[in-house]
Amino acid sequence: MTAPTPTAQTKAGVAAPGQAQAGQAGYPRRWAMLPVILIAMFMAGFDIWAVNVAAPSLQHDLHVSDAALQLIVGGYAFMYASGMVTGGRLGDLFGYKRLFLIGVVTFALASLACGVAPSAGVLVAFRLVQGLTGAVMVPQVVALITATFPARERSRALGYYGATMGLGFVSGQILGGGLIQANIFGLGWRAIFLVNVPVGIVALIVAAIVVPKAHGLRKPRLDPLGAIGVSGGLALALVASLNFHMPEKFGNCAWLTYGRVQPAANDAVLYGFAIPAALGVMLWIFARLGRTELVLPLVPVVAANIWNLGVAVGLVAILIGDSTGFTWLEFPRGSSVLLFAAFLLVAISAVATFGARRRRELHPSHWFLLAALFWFPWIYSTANLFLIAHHPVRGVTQAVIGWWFADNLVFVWLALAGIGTAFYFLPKLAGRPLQGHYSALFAFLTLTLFGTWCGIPQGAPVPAWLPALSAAASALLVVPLFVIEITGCRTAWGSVKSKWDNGPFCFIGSGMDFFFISGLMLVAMACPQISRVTEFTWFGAAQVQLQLLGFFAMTMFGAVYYILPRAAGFEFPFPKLARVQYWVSLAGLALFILPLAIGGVAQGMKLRNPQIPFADISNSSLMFLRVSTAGQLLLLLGGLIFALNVFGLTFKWKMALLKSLIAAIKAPLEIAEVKS
Amino acid sequence: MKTGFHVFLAAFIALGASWCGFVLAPALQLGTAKQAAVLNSSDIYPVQRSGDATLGLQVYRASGCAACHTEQIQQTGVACEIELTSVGKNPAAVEKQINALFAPSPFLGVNFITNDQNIPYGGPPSIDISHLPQIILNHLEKSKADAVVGGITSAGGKAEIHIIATGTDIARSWGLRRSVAEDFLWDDPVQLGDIRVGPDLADVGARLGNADWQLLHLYTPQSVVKGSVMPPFRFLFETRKIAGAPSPDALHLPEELAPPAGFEVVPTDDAKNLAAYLLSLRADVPLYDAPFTALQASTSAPSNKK
Repeated sequence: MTAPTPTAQTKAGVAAPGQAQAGQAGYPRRWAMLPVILIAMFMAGFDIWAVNVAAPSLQHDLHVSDAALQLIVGGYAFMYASGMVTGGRLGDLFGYKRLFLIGVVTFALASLACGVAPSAGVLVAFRLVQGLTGAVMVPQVVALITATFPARERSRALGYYGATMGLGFVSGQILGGGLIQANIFGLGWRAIFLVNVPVGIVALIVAAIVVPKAHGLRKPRLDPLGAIGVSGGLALALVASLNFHMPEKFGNCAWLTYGRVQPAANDAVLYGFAIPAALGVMLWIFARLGRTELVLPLVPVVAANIWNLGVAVGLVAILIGDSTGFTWLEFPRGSSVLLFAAFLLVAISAVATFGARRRRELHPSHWFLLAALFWFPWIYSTANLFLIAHHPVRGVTQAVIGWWFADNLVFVWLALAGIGTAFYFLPKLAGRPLQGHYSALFAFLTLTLFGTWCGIPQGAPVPAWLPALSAAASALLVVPLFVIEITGCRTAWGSVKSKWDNGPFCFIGSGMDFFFISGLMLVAMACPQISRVTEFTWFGAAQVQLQLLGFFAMTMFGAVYYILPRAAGFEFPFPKLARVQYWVSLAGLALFILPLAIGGVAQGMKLRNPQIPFADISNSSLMFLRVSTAGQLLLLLGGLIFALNVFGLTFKWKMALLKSLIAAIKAPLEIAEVKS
Repeated sequence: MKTGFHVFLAAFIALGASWCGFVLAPALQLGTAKQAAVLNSSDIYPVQRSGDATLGLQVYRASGCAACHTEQIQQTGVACEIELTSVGKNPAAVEKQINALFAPSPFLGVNFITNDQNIPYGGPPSIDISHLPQIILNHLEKSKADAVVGGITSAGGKAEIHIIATGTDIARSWGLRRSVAEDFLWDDPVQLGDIRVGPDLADVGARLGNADWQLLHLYTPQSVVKGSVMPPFRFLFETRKIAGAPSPDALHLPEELAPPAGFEVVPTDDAKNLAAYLLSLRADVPLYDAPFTALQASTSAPSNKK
């Protein structure tokens, strides 16, 4: 049997919607297939209605309470209806035939379990399972009809489909009653479930032969919420700094007070934008480097929703005063659990994609990104268990673990994810391989080895060996910083000048430079002589913001500008705006970070002189804060441009999907691959 | 780095080492910490906070006070000052003994005291024995202070050594000694803070120990502390109609902020708890690892509290 028109193989989930080519002839055995798939659908419909008739006998046999009866009847319908969308999507991704067969088998098994259920509880449970398996099975029916029938026959086939649906409704009431009345082998109500078993087996065998393999386009999913994360975070940060300029305005509003908005702003940028963006980019890089498709593509989609929910819950919790009080760990327990679960799900998909790679040797990006996948679950679970669990550690141990976590997240994790991303894109954009495989390896090893010991402030009220160790590690951190910067520069400089007109290249190149500067600031702050001036000042905030917004956000902007058009098959709606965003963001960073750093040093110098009254110091900082607020405004503008571009692209993409859907209804055939 | 396992191993070793160092070791070293003995006293420190102050820490956490305030005093070291309490029967001998400390050393050409530094006295202190006790020397190292006191004692006089913590935080009267691990034993969460947009609060209960002042300051920081940049925390207060007698808790607000006639501004429980917590912040006892001499006022010590 020859396949009619096996069309262009979709590449690694990057095909654009609407690319599908249409076959004219349709699938030869389509009319043999139709009864089989319709019988399966009939089973699912039948069971919704037959149970209504069986209710009295159920109540008599199993002593089912009214509430349980509701669940037996309604639970099926609920799971069936709510699972349909996911079931349809699964079919698109993994093939309609496969999902249909899985649906039939599990439906038959669940029916068997319902038929032999010894108690009401077991029956309720398996009715829910049965509903879910129905939801896996039924959406494939329409999809298979659309995929295999040519346009002129499709309406007829769909007509049979509708008739079957009606038949299921009617016969459920009548045939169901008949089955119970007939009381075959004394089965009573059990017959309406058990009848599915032989029907299911027959349907399975026939379907395995006559149903063709077909699946939909592997559509990439765009998640524009990350763009909200960065803009939302920056807007919150702006509100926070407005607290300094008009403190009176916010006095009556608890959730707008600086102490709540400021951590919420930081967390929105880190958890709402930086980490999810990095995870998305990571999946892309793993698929691309491995020359393979994303494994378990649905898992990150689910994970993204869980993650976003966790962030939303966490941010609201901070604003209503439910923060845990630990820097970068403000999200309360429930939110942390969601984030942790979502991260693990993404990590599973990423590691599976990594394992499935066709090119076996590892790229330097692999080291950094794999380490990042490993890093986060460890530090996040440690911090949550030691600080927020039921019995948190006592006293300053909390602070030490908090610093360890903050350093490993904001410095090490961001460095691993950001440098891993840059080491993939920079060579690609510069058009030549990464200059220095061994220096990259050296940088990776020293960064992980030294970076993870930084972060304990020098004057901290803890046993002296802790800050001393931290200072030593920070001094050694200079080594990977220079190696990374030199590797990046050697890769970028060799490229032609015109590369600088390229949006992603500018973003990622600048991001690397900001990493170098922010790293040096971190090293300086750990030096005991310098720390005496910089500690407890805005200088520390400048370093963190440079790391987060300068290094990481810029790198991610670049990566997203590179990936999204390729993933969606469209150019950005406003490609010129990427350049505008670059310059606006750069100006914003300069105006935001420099005043904080300079103001921080000035503040530190004055703090060291006890003759200067404290009020004078905080007032002279206000001038710097005003300038940095202007910088924040520019950064926000940059974030909004980014969001506009991403949303515009998503909109274009969705419109195209809609158009291709309309075209598909009119056109003969929509599905990418139809093979027998 | 040939396989994913190599990467895993490298990351595991790197992170595992720091986990042992910065998570496990502090948890073992400090996790079992108990209250410490107060120096020269039978007291133990710190005592558990009162109930409302414990609740107040949660208001401090929820309001994000640590975004602007630290709770950690730092010091650069300690210095000793010598207080002459008695000259005994032979004042001249004591005076001679002290002057000898300032005589040039026969070998080094500098005298015993001033080869050091920071000596505010140009020469031998002039002791006016009519005003005893009196600080005669300060900014001394402990060994030298011991030598001086030994000399005075041998001449029949009596003197005491006061240990004074030094550093800008101490000079700003933010505290009497550096913060140490013991100070945070009962705190959960520990709110050390990392930026001083506002002043340090480690010892604020000793420094500004008036609940009414604290409440008024929370309501309207600028009218209490001139030039303050703190946002007001009015959401911790309630403006309500006076029903019957005015509440004893009502704030005494300045004219321009006072509520309309017939109304009063009263602190909520959160505000009272927060004030109680602030008053409970007192790191003012000497400990083994942060010693100082607790002074009973009246002396002219440079670190004297206001």
